[in-house]
Amino acid sequence: MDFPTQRQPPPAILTPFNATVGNYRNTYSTGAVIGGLSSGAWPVTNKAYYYPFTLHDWAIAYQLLFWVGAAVDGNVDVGIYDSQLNKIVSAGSTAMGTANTVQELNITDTELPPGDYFLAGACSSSSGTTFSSAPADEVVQSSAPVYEQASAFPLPSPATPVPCTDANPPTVAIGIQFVPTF
Amino acid sequence: MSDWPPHRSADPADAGWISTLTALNGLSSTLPAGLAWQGANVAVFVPITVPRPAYIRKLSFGCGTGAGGNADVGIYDRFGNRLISTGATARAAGSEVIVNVTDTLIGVGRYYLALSSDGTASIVSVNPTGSSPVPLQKARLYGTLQAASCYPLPTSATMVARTVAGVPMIGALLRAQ
Repeated sequence: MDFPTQRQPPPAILTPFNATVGNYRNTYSTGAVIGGLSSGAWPVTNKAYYYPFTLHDWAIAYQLLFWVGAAVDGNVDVGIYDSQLNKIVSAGSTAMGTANTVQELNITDTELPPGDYFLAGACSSSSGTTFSSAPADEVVQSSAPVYEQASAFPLPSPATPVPCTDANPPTVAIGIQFVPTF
Repeated sequence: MSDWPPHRSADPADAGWISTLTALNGLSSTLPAGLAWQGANVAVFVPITVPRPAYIRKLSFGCGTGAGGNADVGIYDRFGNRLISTGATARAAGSEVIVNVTDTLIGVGRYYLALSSDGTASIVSVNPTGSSPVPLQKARLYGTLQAASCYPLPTSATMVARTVAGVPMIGALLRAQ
């Protein structure tokens, strides 16, 4: 091919709500957006959720993000996996932060090449809360499947997730900060 | 080489206008409206992604009711360098302001649409819904940043974390040539 592949940088903050999966912009939960999220309990203690996304250009991950809900309890972990489900980087078990605030989880600045990845989040307590959206499974799983893994806190490597079986698969407000300042 | 042409996503270089409203799709369920500007000389930066090289032809913003005041609208690269701006531009109460700028070529990458004002007269903005601190968290999750003492927009800006939630509606007309 004579012409270079078209590049497209990731958003400044990548979340399941603005991620690209393959070549296509994906919005999990069919229309769920940051503006419409609400606080809710982490569904199951120590369960992790995985959200596929694609990078179309090199990018540096500076921090990982977890939007704490109205009630604080337990610890959180957020991480990035490659397409083979090997963990590239994660925050590690971290005490849940301030209520209703996006918690910044500092990581070693990690350069990611173009490719397919998973963004994962887990919580050690179902009394802890996060901002999320959770429509019916036939809506979510038919558009952008969410994956889950039980007993996955802190985030394991490799991961062995399966398609989420929840009646209302949650799409949680976790993110990757691809800019130096949040 | 594949027999099929590569998929091309929606391309601002073909479509024309790109705005912070486009970039912030889903930030708020409420429509933008004239809101008091966040502080005299404060600039707000909203990230956009440009997938193909394009020329910036025009920049725009909207004004709420109330006379007076000036704004400066521009585009910055991801390092905080100003690429082009309108310069001091008088507000037009209850109307949009569209300014021709020197055609400026930008490449593929992440940029920031920026707006600063010399007062607190209303600028069309989105205020995310929710009770404090939720609106601010929404604005931050979209990667918006701010800087003080930025009127008119400086040659280079040090962008810092947001302390106020509002996101201005800024438009940019991009053309492939």
